[in-house]
Amino acid sequence: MRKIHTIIICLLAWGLSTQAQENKNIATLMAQLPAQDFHQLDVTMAKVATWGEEDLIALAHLLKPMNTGENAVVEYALSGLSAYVGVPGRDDLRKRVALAYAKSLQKSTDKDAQSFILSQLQGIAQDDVVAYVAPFLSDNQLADPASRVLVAVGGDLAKKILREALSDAKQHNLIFIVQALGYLKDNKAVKAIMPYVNNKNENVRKATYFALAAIADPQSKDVLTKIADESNYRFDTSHAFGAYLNYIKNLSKKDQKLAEQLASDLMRKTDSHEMQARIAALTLVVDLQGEKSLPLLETAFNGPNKTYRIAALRLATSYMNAHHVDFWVKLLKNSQSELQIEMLKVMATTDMPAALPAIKELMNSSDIDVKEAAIRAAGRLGGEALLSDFLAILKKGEAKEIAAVKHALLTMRSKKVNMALQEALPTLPWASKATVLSVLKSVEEKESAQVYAVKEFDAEAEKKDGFHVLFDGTDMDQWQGNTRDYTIEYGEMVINPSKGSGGNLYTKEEFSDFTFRFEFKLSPGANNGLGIRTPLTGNAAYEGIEIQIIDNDAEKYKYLKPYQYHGSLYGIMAAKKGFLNPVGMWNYQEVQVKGDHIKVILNGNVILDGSIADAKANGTLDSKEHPGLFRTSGHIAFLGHGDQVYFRNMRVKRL
Amino acid sequence: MKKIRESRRDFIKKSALAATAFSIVPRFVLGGKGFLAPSDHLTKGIIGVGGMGRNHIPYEGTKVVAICDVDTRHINIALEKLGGGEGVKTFGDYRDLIQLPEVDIVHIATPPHWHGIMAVDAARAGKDIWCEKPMTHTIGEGKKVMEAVRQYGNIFRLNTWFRFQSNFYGMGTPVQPIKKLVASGLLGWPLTVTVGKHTGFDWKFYWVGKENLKPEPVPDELDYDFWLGPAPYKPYNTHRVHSTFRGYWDYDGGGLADMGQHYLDPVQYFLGKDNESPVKVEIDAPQQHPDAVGTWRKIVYTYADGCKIVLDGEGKINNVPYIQGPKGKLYPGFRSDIPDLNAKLSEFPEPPEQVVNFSDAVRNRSKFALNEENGHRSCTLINMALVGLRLGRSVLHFDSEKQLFLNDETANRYIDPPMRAPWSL
Repeated sequence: MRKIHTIIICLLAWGLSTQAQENKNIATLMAQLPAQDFHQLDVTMAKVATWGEEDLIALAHLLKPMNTGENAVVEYALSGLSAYVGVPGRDDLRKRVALAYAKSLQKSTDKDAQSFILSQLQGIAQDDVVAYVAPFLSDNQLADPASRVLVAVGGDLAKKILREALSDAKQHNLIFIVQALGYLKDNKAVKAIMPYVNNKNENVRKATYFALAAIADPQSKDVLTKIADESNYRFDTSHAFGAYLNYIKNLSKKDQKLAEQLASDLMRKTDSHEMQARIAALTLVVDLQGEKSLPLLETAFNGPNKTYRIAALRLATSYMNAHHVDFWVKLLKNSQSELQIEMLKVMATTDMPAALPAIKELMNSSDIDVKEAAIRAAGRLGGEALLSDFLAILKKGEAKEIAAVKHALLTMRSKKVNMALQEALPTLPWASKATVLSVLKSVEEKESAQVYAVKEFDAEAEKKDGFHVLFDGTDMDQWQGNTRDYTIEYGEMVINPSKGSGGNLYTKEEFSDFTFRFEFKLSPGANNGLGIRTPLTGNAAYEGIEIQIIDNDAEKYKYLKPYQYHGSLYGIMAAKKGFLNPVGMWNYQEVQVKGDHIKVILNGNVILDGSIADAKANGTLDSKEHPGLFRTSGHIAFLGHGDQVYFRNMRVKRL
Repeated sequence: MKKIRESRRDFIKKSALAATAFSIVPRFVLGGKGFLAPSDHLTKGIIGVGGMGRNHIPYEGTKVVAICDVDTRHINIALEKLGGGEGVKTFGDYRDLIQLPEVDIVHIATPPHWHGIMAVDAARAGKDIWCEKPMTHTIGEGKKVMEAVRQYGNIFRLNTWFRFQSNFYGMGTPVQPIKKLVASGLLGWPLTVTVGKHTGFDWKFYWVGKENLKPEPVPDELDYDFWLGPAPYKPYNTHRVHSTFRGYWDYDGGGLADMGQHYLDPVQYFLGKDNESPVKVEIDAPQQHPDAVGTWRKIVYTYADGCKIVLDGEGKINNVPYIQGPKGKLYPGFRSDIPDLNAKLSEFPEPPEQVVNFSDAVRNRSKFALNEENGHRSCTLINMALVGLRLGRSVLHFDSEKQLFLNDETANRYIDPPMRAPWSL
């Protein structure tokens, strides 16, 4: 709504002043934006994309200085158009629109507007407009968006323009141009960028390192090695070390041998440095050498600290597969317990059944943590085949082993496993018995409730039985009161929430003893109520009787009292909880009222069945006055207007 | 701009002065096996101490030793919450915080356009990382975070948790039994998961931006240029920053980006999609403004095997189960149309255990349950839809392996767009 509002204001604002009014195309377009859906957007923009260049430029020129706060609709138009022509197969349109945008840049003097147009060109520009973008590379505010357009375009022409811009770059635009040349990996720019490695400005150095690393020309080797050495292989704000690692990685695509050489040198040089530097160097070597690096990793597994050892193991696990099973089995046997545990965790998730015998051996390890990891891994890899081994452990009945077996059994459960456990149960020592029982029962499971089907009812049969239709989806003729908020939609009675109190909805007739059947559907957190024997005025929960209709599982109702649950006589008598269908699904409910006796049946389950005689004599659960208890007749009513609830198929039989 | 830069430097100088008097808390030493700081606590530094970052202060198992924000007012409020903050160092530049030897874990609670850069830098500085959701602002940044964490050997977690603990919103149960049910095959395959108001998930459409923002003077306490960082320069307006930034594409992506990883990461997990992404996203929404994020009606993801996730933005998709399969349905509250479901489920394995304590993960160097890899994949759900929304694409096709859109160059320009120098990844 607000957006439509904005459009009207904008249209008024143009009113007398601009060319927009003279341009019929533009005026029509503006009235259609923002589009209500993507289809309409496509239809609208398909037309705009065929406009002549003059109209397109005129559209771009509607951007006003930002402090006018009037650009929204024009921005919708321009961004909608550029996204539309960016779809494959619309290249001719894209060309025309991009060119028009580019030309509009020349005529505009407002930098925010130019910046906006450049951001649009970033999505759709190709070689044909880069020449128009070039002049903005020297602008203080626009060098950044202009350079990003060139990066998006890529290719030789964009690179050439950036190199030219670099040759007379100033302090304010230098970083944008250097970084852009890096993004484009322009190796022709290396010589021109190189001198900036020693620039006094840290940001310039950072952009320079980034660019040289991305381009990865062999001739930057010495320079980048030097700055990495000087950084002590530590993080610093110029990213010297990070850039060097990227350089070697990228260099490998051009000169694998040189890259491997530099990586090995780096491993040696970082040997006594911080852990992250050592791990980074190791990762680099491993990535460059592939599975050839396994022996190197084997050495790394004995590295000086856990962070390093585990990182090495994690690198090696890319090669944990059937092809290298001998390597891993040997390693598993010969490693320290710390590494064995980590290895077992990974092995549990891989498909390497040939490792199973070695893993089973470790189930006898004297280190309980290794033993536990081995039991778990064996369970995952071997499945039911391990059952007899696990039963043997359970028969020994040692607490720590039982705990490990429990987890393995949980991840192995099947009909066969369950049966075997059941069978073994009598033979097990007490401690194992409890574990096996908990596995069989699986304590983590929640009671799952049923979903109840709402069956179609036989209207003819019910009619013969004496039922009378109160609502069948066609009209509200038998109802009075709040027919503003309670309306008919697609044959259902729906209450659409409103802020003002529209009050309750009542039957026109009064009912004394009766059976009322209806279906209802709740929205999340909805609260309504079914009034019986209510007068047309006053609070029906007290002046009549209210049978709760409520999504009592909603988070916000977690502190409800039982006499407020769905189906309860509000404040008087509590219903059984747990028979509502999930919100959004239909429920079927029958309410029987005869004298003091009230019965509520929800989805085929009796959730309330009792007499109000006791409450009349001795007071109610909520200790409040309920004069409605003493009424013998009144209207059937729906009590609520704040939440969305749907009703259908209402019928009643007088008793 | 120049003036802003200077004021930032002043600020850092002041912070550095303020910090010198405090003692250094010995950090968890990477070397010694099982060595813990005397307090038995790991230490953390928090970047971004606005509303969200201040929530990180009491997170269990760690002690705050440093905080960082580009708004001095945030720093002051955080110090107050820290009871004066004795011993806590304060910074305006996160790069100073991540270099502190006494920080074990870096918490990133800035707007999302910073997450990728800060996570990669923290990794380079050898820190373990606890990052707010959404993990990154673009798909490209997510890949870089994955690479960095692997390269420098760090432990990473994302700040959502439903795949391993707590009741899962409207489901009223944790995710584990759902994972078990899905893995059992009792529902059949492929599955359709509907995430909307009627299955218990609200998309928070109050995170929308405003159009026609007029330039306003930058407040003295804020280093706006640093706040923008890698994002394109746009004149300051109060609504762009702090508690309302989610309404702007340059920094975030509205309710979808705010709640998406909470709601969808568990779905990727129980569908077994931790290493893949959908091959198609379909979107029904009004046209979006190029600056201000708007609302949407429906987003549908389809995976290569036919599984679908339907996001219901309007709360109009009624009468559907949370999970629909060819053989059965699951409704909120773990209800199903499958008779005797629990008895049947007892014959199927439980899902494997997960590493759910971050301090333990840091000490043992174990991969956390929700880490840079599966976190990147669940964040990709969000970021691929945001591209489609911004461009008004009713359908985008995606290559799950290359992580690029198919046959749409304009959309691909949003996958890993260049950053404003000197910021880069």
